[in-house]
Amino acid sequence: MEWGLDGAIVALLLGLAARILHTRDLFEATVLFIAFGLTLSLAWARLGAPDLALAEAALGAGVTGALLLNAYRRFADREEKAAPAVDIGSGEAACGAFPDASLRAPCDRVLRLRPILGAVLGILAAGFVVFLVTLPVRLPILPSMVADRLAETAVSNPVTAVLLDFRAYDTLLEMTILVVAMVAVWSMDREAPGLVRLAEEGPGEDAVLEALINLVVPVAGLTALYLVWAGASASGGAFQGGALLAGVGVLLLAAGIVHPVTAQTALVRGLGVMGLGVLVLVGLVVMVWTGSFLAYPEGTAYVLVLLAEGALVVSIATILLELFVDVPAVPEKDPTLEWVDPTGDPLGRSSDADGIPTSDSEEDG
Amino acid sequence: MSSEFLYVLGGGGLFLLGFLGVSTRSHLFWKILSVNFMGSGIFLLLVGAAPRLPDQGPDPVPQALVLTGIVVAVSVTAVGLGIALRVVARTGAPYLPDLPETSGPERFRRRNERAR
Repeated sequence: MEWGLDGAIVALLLGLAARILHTRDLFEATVLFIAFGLTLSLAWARLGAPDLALAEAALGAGVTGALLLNAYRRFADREEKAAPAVDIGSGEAACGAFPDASLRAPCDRVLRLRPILGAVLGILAAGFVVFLVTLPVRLPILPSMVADRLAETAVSNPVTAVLLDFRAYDTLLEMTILVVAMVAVWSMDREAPGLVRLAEEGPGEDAVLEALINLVVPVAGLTALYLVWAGASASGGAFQGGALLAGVGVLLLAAGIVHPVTAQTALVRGLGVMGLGVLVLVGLVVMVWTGSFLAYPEGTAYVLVLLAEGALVVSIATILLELFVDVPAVPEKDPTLEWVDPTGDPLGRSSDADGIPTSDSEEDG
Repeated sequence: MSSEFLYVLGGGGLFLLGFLGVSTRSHLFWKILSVNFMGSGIFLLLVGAAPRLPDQGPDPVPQALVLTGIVVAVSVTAVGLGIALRVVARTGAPYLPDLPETSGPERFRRRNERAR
């Protein structure tokens, strides 16, 4: 029970969040968000959840941070190209201040509601605290249930057992969400992969980058594989290992050593779907023996969990890498069109005299 | 009351901060970050409030749920960023374009062909 340390971590979390929400600088927000993810990882460690600490550092700080860093510049680029000398700022600063109407931030009604919003949130916060303080203390049931049946799963890390055996269905749905994210991103309009290369000259010409890759890639790759293997008995698992592998991939991509992992290729799509496919297949096949979806028969749990984890790691690494490449791959804005929308229709569809919108396909840019 | 309760309070506070951010910041990037804060707050609440006995380890079921939640949050961030970047590419401004009553009547201006 260490109030000082825990209090400091919570204060840091809330302070970072408040600063991120207050700042107007995109880069500051991105970097502080990465710091926030790492602090949250500390919090998980303090709460006795090392698997979560690993996952938060790898995914929450690492992958999300990489996504944000790769994408934030495109928010800034557009604003600067359009109005280089003017600070867009928040709604209240920009309301009505710009000659060019297309840059005017919405004069939000919300701004006028701010005192009401603050009061509502304050009441909610007070009610929240009262509720939390008066929670009845209950004896935990689930840890003992998990501990009793742990021997059946052939893994000794209870979190891995829950993820891949007791609640393997949740993991299946989680993989579905990742696949849906990949499909959603590849369905958006894309241009060439918008990854900014760190080394302009190419591999072999930037000594620092080359040294970094020579050192980091083997170690990180091995650590990732170890994390997956060790997840059976200690902290680790498929998600942490997959995220670390994605990080290795990002480094290789940034140096130009591998081709951009975009979802335009069938290989990437196949690898991304493979984890989900293996889980579904395993679930259906075991139905022949046990009659329930994903209910592993006696003695096969180890092999099936291993199989599932292997497929999951490949899929997770591929999907995370694909998201990193494809999310910022936005086509250039058509320079001949600056939308006029007198009817208030955001898609720019024209309307006839009654104000009834008609669709006009050649306006789409 | 052990010091884990601080994390429960912190989680709740983070959720409320995120809610404040989503409601008041009109910039899409900050909306995405605020949604992440709301998620992280709920995760802290879930793991921090899990009842624990001193002789057993921390409850593995909320940990597994939060692990799933972290992955889902990353996916949501990715898709949200993709959509936001395309909004910026199309409309030139990182704000939601679909609420005409929150912006001026001449929000967009076509430059040449369709002069009306």
